[in-house]
Amino acid sequence: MELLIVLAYTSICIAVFALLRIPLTRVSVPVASIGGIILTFVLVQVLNFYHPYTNASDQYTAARPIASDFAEAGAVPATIDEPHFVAWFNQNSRFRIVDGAAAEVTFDSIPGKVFTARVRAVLSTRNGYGEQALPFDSPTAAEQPGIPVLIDITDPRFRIYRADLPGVSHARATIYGGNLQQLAVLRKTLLRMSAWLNYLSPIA
Amino acid sequence: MLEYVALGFLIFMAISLLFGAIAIVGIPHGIAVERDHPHQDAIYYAGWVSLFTLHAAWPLLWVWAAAYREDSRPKFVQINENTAINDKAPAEQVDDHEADADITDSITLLRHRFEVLKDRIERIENAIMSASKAA
Repeated sequence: MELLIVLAYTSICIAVFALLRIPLTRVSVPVASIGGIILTFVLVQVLNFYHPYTNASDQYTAARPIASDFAEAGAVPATIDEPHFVAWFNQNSRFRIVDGAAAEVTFDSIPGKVFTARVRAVLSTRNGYGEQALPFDSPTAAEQPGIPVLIDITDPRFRIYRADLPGVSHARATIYGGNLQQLAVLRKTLLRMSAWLNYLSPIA
Repeated sequence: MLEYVALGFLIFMAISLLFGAIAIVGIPHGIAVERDHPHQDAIYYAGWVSLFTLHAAWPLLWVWAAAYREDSRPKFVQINENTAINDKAPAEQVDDHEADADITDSITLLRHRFEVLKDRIERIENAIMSASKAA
């Protein structure tokens, strides 16, 4: 995401220099580069704080056949729990994330599509006790440095994919905090750019 | 809607970055030409070749191009008692008339010394010839 922001700034600079025929001098080039470092740094920090993004997110399917007798349930498809979607966010954004906040999710396996979502709960524990523990066994939970956030994907377009996604699907998610809503559109555009880039095999 | 804005911007980024990568190929060559660099053709080719290494070598081409200056001469020679006579900075420019007079004087002096030397050589040759005849 940071790389996308830097490349976006660079490409805008190239276009402005080329189209407006700004001469490359010892004033114009340092202003564009040092100004760019400051601008992109501030933008990355502000976006990460107020509209946190993470690519550490997974959909976990907690498959639990409700019908215990298979012979009897032969014709009836086994009922499974709704899949849970958990994204791990940096702790510095903890108090920007409130229950019910708007969110968006894009899956590596569904390129070009971004689904609207909503924060259900910020989980306080990983695999431990308590009401807000992870609702399933997560193989990667112990390695995750961030805080787990349980997200409901509310987008109706997601319904057709939900059952067919792999058990642990890699995804990217953003949560839109209450402050600086003007910048949310930047985060939304960047997430959509990431979504389109999922058509390509991962470069890094 | 925003999806397609993002896609359009990605395409714009790809075109712009490609254009930028090609536009900077010629910069070190331009510097080399300006300085009448003896390696300017090599710097030109290296500029294009560095494109295929994703411009990894490009910053070094700036150094290469800037390492030569046509009118480079030692400008920081310190002169003291230990400095050899040839290291001394060139004398103040004398005016043209004085310089011409100096040259005329030198030519007269040199011609005179030439005549003297020629005369000596002739005498030495004659002495050698007479000595060899006597032998």
